[in-house]
Parts: sequence; C-alpha cells; structure tokens
Amino acid sequence: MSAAPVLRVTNLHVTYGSGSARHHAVRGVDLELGAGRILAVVGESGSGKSTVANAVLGLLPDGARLTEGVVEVEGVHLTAMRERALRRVRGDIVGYVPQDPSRSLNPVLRIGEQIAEALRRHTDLNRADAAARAVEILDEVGIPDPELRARQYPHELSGGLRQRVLIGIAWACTPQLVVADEPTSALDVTVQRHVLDRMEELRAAHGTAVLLITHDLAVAADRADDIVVMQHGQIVESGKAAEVLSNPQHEYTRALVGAAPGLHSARMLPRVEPAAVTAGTSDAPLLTVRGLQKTYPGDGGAGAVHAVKGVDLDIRRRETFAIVGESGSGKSTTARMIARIIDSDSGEIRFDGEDLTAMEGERLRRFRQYIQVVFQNPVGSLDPRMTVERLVTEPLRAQRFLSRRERAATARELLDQVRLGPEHLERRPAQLSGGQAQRVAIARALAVRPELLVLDEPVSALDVSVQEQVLQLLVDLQAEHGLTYLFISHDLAVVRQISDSIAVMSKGEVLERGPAAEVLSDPRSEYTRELLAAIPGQVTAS
Amino acid sequence: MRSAGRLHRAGPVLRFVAPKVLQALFVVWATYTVTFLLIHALPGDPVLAALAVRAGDAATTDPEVLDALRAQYGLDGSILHQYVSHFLALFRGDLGVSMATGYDVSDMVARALPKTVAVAALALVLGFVGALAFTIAAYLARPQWLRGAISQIPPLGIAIPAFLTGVVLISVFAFQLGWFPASGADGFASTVLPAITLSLPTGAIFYQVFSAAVFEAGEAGFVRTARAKGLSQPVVIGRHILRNAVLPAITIIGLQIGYLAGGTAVVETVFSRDGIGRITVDAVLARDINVVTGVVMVVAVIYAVTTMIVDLLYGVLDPRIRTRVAAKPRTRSHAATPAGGDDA
Repeated sequence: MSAAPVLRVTNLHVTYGSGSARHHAVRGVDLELGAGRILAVVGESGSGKSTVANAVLGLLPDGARLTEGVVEVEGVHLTAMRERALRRVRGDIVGYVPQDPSRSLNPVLRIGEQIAEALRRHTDLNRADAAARAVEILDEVGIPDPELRARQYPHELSGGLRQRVLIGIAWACTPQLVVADEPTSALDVTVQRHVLDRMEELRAAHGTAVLLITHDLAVAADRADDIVVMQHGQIVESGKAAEVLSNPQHEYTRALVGAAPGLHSARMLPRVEPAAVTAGTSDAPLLTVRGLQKTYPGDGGAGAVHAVKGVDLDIRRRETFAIVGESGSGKSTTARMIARIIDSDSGEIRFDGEDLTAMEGERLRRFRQYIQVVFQNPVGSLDPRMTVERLVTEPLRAQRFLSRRERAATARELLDQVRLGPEHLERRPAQLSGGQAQRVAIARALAVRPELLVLDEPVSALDVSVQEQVLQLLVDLQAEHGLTYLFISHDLAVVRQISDSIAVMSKGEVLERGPAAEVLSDPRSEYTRELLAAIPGQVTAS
Repeated sequence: MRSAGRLHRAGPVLRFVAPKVLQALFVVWATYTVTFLLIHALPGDPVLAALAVRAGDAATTDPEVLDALRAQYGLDGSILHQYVSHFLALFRGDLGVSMATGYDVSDMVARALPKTVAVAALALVLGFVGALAFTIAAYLARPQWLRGAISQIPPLGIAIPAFLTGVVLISVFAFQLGWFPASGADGFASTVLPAITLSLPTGAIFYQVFSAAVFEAGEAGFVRTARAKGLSQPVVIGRHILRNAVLPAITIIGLQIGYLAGGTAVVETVFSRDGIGRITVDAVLARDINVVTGVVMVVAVIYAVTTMIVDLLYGVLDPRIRTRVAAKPRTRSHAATPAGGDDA
C-alpha cells in the first residue's frame, strides 16, 4: 500500500450556478485510492458524491465549476489539462461505468461497435481487429453468444446485459482507474450481484483502482476496501470498510448504518399503541384472490406476454402482505388488478366477501374508497399544479362537498397523521422532497379511510434514511388505523423489515408463500434462496 | 443466408409497408374530395365564370355552346358522376383540360414541375444544411448567452416574408454583384436566388425541430458514455448526437414539402420564373378550376409519397423499429429474447 496512489483528490471544491443561486456542492474533499482497491463514496442524494465522480472524470455538467483543488491520476494533474488532452485520458486511463444502463448506450449503434470505437480511439487496432477484440470483451464480461450480441442493438439486450456491456466499455482499454457511478442501482438484486461480481473480477485481473459511488451502504460494505461517507459536500467519515460500518464514529454514518435495510433483518415495530380491535372483526381473510390471470397482447398476437398466470393469495386483516419479485415477475400487474386499475382476464378477487372483478360503474367507484394505492414515484403521482391541501383532500370531493374550512381542517389533520407540519399545506409537489411527497401521497390515500392500502414499491425511489422513516410511518399508521397492506417490492431487505406474510413471484407465478419468518429463514424454492443470497450487506451484518 | 432471411421477412415487411401505402392513398383521396367539394361549393357555374373572366361581357350564353364546352372540360353530367370520373382519371394521369389555355393540365404541370422541383429541392438542402450548421454552433456555443443569441437567429428566416428577402437578394446579388440572374428559369444559376429565398423559412422550421432534438440527445446518458470513452468532439457530435437527432428532423420533411409547394407561388412571381406556383396563381385568377384541381392533386401526391417514404425510412434508420418489423413472424421463442434476455 506504500506505492503512489492511482487517484489522489486534494481539497476539491465544486460550485453550481452563480451569484445568489450559487450552490457549493463539494466543499474540500480529499481522496486517495491505490491500485487494485475499491473505494466507496457513500452518501444520500445531494451529498455531492456524484459531483465528485464527475469532477474526477472531468465531465462536470454545464454550470458546474471546479473552483479549487487538484485531481491527480497516476501523478498527472487532470485538473490542469485542457479538454483536448483530457479526451485522450478518458477511456484510456480513466474508465466510467454509468448509472442507468437503459439510457447509457447509443440506441442506433451496434453493441460491438460501441466497444470497438473506444478501442480504435485509444489503441492501434484497426477496424477489423477492434471489432474482434470487442467480441472478446463481451465474452470477458460474461455475455452469452458474444458474436451475436455484438451485432445487436441496445434495445435487444436486458438491463443486466447492457450494464455488462458498459462495464466492458469501461475496461476496454484496461484503464488504471474506473469510476462507477451507482452502477447497479437500476438493476434487480440478483442481477446486481452478478454485475458487481464481474466488476470485482476485472479489478482483480487488471489491478484496476475502482471509485465506487453508491447510496447503498450494504453494497459498499460487501464490495469496498475503504469507505468515505459524504454529507452536504463534505467527507464526514472515512476508513476501512469493515471498521466504518461496524463502528461508525460520526452521527450521520451511524444514522445511515441504522437505516440501511440490508444490514438489519428485524421486523419494524410500531411506536404507537395499536388501536383497540373493534368487536365483530372476523378471522376470514380481508382479500382472497383465486386464479388471477392477465395476458398482454403483443404485436400481432404472436408476442403475447403472460404477465400473471393464475395467482392465488389470501390477505388477512391488519397484516402486511408482501409480494416480492424482480422486474417482469408480474407483481405490479397483480397489485393493479387487485386495485382495479387494470382489468383481469380471468380469476376472482374477493374483498370482504364481495366479488371485486364483477363490479362496474357507480358501485366500483364507491367501492374504491376501501382500497387505495400509493405508487413508487411520489413526485410523478402528484399533480404538479395542485397545492398539498387540494391534493390530500381531492379524494374526499368525490364523496361529498367540503367547505373551504372543512377542507383546510381535514388536510391539516391528514398531514398531521403522516407527520408533516401545516406549513406544507400551500406547497406544490415541486417544492417537496421525495420523502415529503411520498408522505403526501400516503395522506391522500388515507383521506377516504381505506381498509386496504396497496403500496407499489413505495420506498424504492427514496434515500435510505428517508426510506426508513417512511417505512416506520407505515408501520405506525397500520397500528393506529388497523390498516391492511399489500406491499409490492423488489427488495427483500425492505420486505423483511415490514411484512408479516410474503409471496415470492417470478414470471407471473407465485413460487412460494407463507409467514415472513418462514419464507425468509427456510425458503423452499431455489429462486427465493437466490434472492436472499443476493441481498447485499449480509457478510457485514451477521 | 441473407437472402433466405429476406424472404422470411417478406410477410412482416408487407405488414409494415401496407398501412403506410393505404395512408398515402387516403391522403390523396381526402385531398381530392375536399378540393372537389370546395370548388363546387363556390356559387355560379364554373364554365360561365371562366368564360366571363376571359371574355368579359362578350362571353357567350348560348346553352348549346356552353354544354359543348362543359363536355370538353369534363364538367358535364351530375356532380356525383364528375366526382367519380375525375378521380378515376387521376390514376390514368389525366387531369383534364385547362379552360383558360386549352392545353392538357397534365402537360402544363409536367412542363412546370421540374423547374419548381429544382428550386424546392435546392431550398430543402440549403435549409437542412443551414439548420444543421446553426444547431451545431448553438450546441457548442459557450457561455449560455452566446448560445441563446445564436438560437434567436434562425427564427428570423420565417419572420421575414419571402417577397422581401427575394427583392433584397435580387438587388444585391443580381443587380449590384451580378453573380446570379435576377429572373428566368434557365440553368442552375437561376435557381440559386429563389432557392435561398425559400430555404430561409424552411431552414427555420428544420432548426426548431433539429435543435430541440440535438439538445435533448446532448443531455442523454449515451452521449455521456461517449464522452467518457474519450472520443473526439466530431465523433461524439456526428455519430452519437446527430445520428439520434436526425430521426425526429426527417419526420417534418413531408410538412416542409407542403410548405414549399405554396411558398413557390410567391418566389416564382418575384423572380418571374415559370413553375407550379405561377400556374396556380394564373389559374386561380382565371377561375380555371381544372388547373387548380390538377395542381392541388399533384402536390398532394408528392406530399403523400414523401411522407410515406420518410415513414418507411424510419424502419431502415431506426434499429428499434427495424427489429420490431423483423421480429413479428417469429413466434414467442425468438420474440422473447430481446425483452427477456438472460442475466445469469
């Protein structure tokens, strides 16, 4: 470790904008990263961690300025270089793995060519040799049928394969340093594991230094040698990964570690007294689903997608029933059919004994107050032009007329339930943070006093600490109001924290279901075992 | 291998092409119908009106002569009969006879069309290239105010009327510098000034669509990937930004041709050229409805065909549409691969 570091960042300062709108995003960051090591920069959105990555790459967006500090790679001052010279460094000495594989490959160029062009730029390979080498690289990053895939276009590959292509591009010219900016946050957990494994192999094979930017402490715990925790543009704590996570010194790190779902396995408990169980509540399940099916017609009927193939579920009153699955498993389609947002092809949904699938028109409309939905993207599910007060009381207006005073009072009460102060009443969605927006969405769902809340990935767009607060809020609300939850998630770590029963879905079918403790501790299906094993952060947690 | 694949694809390609051809036919039919209805909704007898324009008070009112003229111009019989027979005649290339000149309308159009097409095509190319140049300049311009300033220039092209630019160009480049002829339609040199005049509004419209597409593509993740690969600026712009940005821009070529067809009327008048625009103006003034209908139909066909070609071109240029076309007949096993893929 005594050798000179591959990457050294000294006293980095970056600001956005100018004049009164100036925002100091990075305030004096120092980093040091040796060959063959992985340094994780961990922080929540707005911490400045991505800005650090961009500054290292010399790809700061318009309006951002590096006001002070030095970035050195292999002793060369990148910050002193002109753009032309930097273009020779990027891709050759510094590689980059972007966040979102679905948008990071050129849709009109073939996969092989997108690797080959980097090779032609930085090596002496001619067109044919570069194309041949691109196929080899595809093979090295674990893409099956590399020759076929090289001739395909990005839209013909799944997200995991695209991310492997991007990793291949990053390592194409065997750089000394690779900057990976949230490389797996858009991927399913099982895919995430394979992709990260692949990065580690390449690092080991070439002795590459990796700067891993992530919001996920568990990923950092599994993969990094060293960790740097950032908050408000500053490093609040740094050190060996194991030490930082097992014995966090700074308050913020402790909060982050405490909030990270991957590092904890306990079920959250309500912090409030549960509402007294009203008499006459039967033991019969609140919701029963039998043989639910949905097929989406493909182009011309040939490519029809069987999204849900005969799902049976029983959801008891006041429990949290989680459906876990990866993208394409049919979990969201199932939830939407239960909420009657989309129609099922066949099967039966009974809510409190009443057949939901047969309901139409006015009866269905009145019934909707019993089942409410909270969606994944909190900002997108709120009308940007409405104030919070109107947003949360709008469902009520479908039922009866509210005077201005009643409306204000109800809105205040609803916000209070989701622990938001009355000062938020006049705000609009754009003025809310992600967590606040999701609270407003929950308040809106609660407005009509539903019995069942369908929560479709309610926390997966949120930062970990916010995620934990929203989950805790949901647990408390459940106890206070005697709610039943249908919780849809791709993240077993989150599901573990909140659910009583779990159903694991894959390819439109329920592979197994049962009490949460049982499914998690003694999974019967191979797929569930794989999902469990893929949760990052387990080594450190145990 | 390749030819076998092509045969295999014949079915889906047909399924991709057929609706677009039907759409084009529909546009032609709808244009014909609307034009026919509009002309016949005008008050008065079309033959009488045309005669009155030509001969004034001396126009004949003898019913027999009028009937003979109606038969000659294809305006006899019931409205429905005219509607059907004229439409069928279109497919034979028969556009009727001009009431003002007595020539076949198809001959008149055939003589005028090449001159107009020469100007319009050059205008289209100049407009496209100009829009491209301004877009790249604006994309590369720093700081922000310079980019803003450059972006304000192309809209002037549509704000300044064509007759004004035409007159200015004539007085500078024809009268003062003597580089190009001020009028006439002989040779390439005579097309330059009218084409420039027409290219300004055309380019302005291209610029609006093109710059929006380029700025959007410039923000895209794949451009970031390209820059992170260390590719040179021309490669990033040419291969990664422009190749994605031309797709939306070519969609409006059809619209531009519709605009150019109308725009040539002014330009051909200003530069005293023969062409479709001139014919149209003369025909309208002479109440020569056969020529008006004929010109409208020719423009409609050109518009429909270009739009169709552009639509079909999408299938060639955009690999996402290409695979959708190609993947249709192969059933589930193959169609599932792109979406599902294998991650393990």
